[in-house]
Amino acid sequence: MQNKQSTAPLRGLDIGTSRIVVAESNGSDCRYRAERNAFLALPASRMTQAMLDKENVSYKLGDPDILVLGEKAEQFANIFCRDTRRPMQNGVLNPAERRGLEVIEETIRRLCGDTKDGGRVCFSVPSPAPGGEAELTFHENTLSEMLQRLGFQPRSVSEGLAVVFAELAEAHFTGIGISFGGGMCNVCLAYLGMPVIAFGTAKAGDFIDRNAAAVTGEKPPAVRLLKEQEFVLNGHYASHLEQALSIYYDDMIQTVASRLRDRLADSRDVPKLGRPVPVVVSGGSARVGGFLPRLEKALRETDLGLRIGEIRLSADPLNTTARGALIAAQSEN
Amino acid sequence: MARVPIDLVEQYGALIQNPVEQLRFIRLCGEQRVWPTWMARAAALEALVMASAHAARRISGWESTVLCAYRSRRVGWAVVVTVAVSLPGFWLARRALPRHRAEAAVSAPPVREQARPSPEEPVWLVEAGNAELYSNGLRVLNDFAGHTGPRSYAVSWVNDARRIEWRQHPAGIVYHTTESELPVLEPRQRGQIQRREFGLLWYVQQNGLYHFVIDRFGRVFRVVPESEYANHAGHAVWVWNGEVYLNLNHAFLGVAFEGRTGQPAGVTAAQWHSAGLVTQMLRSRYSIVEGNCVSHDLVSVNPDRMLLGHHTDWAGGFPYAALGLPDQYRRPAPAVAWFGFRYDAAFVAAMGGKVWPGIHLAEEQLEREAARRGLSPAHYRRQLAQDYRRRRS
Repeated sequence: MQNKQSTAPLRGLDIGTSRIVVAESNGSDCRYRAERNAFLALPASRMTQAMLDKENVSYKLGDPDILVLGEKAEQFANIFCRDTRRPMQNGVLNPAERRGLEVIEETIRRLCGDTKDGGRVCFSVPSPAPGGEAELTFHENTLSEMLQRLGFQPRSVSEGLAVVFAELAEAHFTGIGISFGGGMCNVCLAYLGMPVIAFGTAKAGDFIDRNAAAVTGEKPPAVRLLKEQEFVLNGHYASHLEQALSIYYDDMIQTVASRLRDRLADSRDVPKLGRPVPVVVSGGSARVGGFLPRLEKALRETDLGLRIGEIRLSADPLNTTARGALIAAQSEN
Repeated sequence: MARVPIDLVEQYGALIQNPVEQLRFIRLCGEQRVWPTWMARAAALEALVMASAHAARRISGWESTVLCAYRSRRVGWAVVVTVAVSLPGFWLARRALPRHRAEAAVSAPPVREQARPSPEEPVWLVEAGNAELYSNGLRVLNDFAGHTGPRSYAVSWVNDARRIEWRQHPAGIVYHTTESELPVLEPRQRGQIQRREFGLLWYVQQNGLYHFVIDRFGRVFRVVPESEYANHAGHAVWVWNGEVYLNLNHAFLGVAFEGRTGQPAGVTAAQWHSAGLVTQMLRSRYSIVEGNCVSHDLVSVNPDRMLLGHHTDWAGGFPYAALGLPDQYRRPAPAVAWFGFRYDAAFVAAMGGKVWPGIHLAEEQLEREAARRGLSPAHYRRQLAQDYRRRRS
């Protein structure tokens, strides 16, 4: 319903390393469209094109190849025994992928429709990992220009803050939002909707897949499949791969907890919070069974210098960032 | 200068359910600089009103007073200076001009243009979807459509209270005003206009208050489907053609005009045009007779005190002719004639100092009937009131 407020619709956009999610408001409900942020380049030929048409696969005709986008790219990669290419790495544009921006632009165009409606869009950006400030500036400005080319009025919002916007309205947007994504974990402590501390860590879903695959000799897609479908983080493991996953999950969680402790200790901007601070967690990597108790244990055992209240998983972990970005766009309208 | 303290942010923030409005409110609180600090509450209220039309309705009377005082602080000195400068000229002009009597404070929204679509012409759905199109040109937007529950109501008869029939079909239309504040229509108020309308429609949807809302631009929003009830006229009485309707939430459809009775902006020509089309569509699709098309002031009652005018939107000024309907104010008021309702001074004041003719006609009818039965009017009224309570139970 909020779209009634202006003629151009408002959108929230989560441009993540693994997925791109668009949130649009439909009356009081929120509607999401998502696509995997990956592609596969196939040599351009009439035969390939005919095959893709027959399979009803969305693709982009490039020169000199055809780009298969999104979920289907993964399937075709298996057929052709190849790996998909990733436009982003560690939460920002992949410097080694020259066609990355083109693919992101095309994916967003398909998700939002070729509207040119001039609507405001709030897109998520990661918080800087140590030493990653310059990369982040490039990433944010490049995406902003790209969204302007697509006809939007872009504004950026930090990913952790978007989680706070989406989930902590009842706490007056005061609390900690953590997004455990594919390329990065983004953390934000917000006070009344203002970010006090925001940082990112590069140890996230891809880090777990890559390293678990490396030590077990498996391929990263197989690791991801196990992680998403069967794995439970409960301290027990039936295989070497599950043991590796447990170790790297713990590493990711401990990194977040210790960086949060360090940042809170270093910061002079943390206001006096008279009550326990709620923590909300989102992102694909947080959906693993047993993740939340493990995170809760880590955070409570770490001396953060503030009282931690309820720790919970967001209602819709894969779409939380996009929804928070939409709320940011709506609130500025 | 200080900012709005956190306890006030939390106190008033708790009134807001919508996260977007809540975020807007908190940001506005952050922008307010308050000095002296006793103004903090007023600043928080100002932010609340700007952020959420829904929550703004929940502030109390004394808080409204605080807010008014806060809002007038900037113009206070300007007014003093202006009055001081212009007083001599005003005094001279007043002496030179003839005196006029002040107009009544309360008036119905003015009619600027009348739309009279033919009621006989059948209206049918041309295009379904989020924006419905009907054959008479009516567009109905479903962006705010919600659900309440199925319609089911009892009809009794004037001369036979025991005979009851349960129906599911809408029998009539009640016209309301939303009684919401309209920001001034000017470009710099754009954000305010959009926020207010959004807040209004959201609130109306959340509470299932009407079936349709016609906004100031003439857009028609469906809030509750016609097959369901809406909470628009629960305490209401209407009688037509011998049939008695005592709960119009179920029996009648609610159509609300965005606006406020007595507000200078009034109801716009676009709204009247759309109201004509909505009326034509509803009458055509649900075979609604013109006698069952009524304004809210006409039917609203306070059953506990047996008084007319629990709600007084339209204040006796609904222009039936604008919609091609007979003037219901000139018919004996059913609540008075059949059930002995009275009215008090507050009701007369709300009507601008004068009640509509139908109330006098109904009182005359009641007195005639009392005389015919050999009863005093007061005694007869008591009997009618008992009959009303029996029917309600």
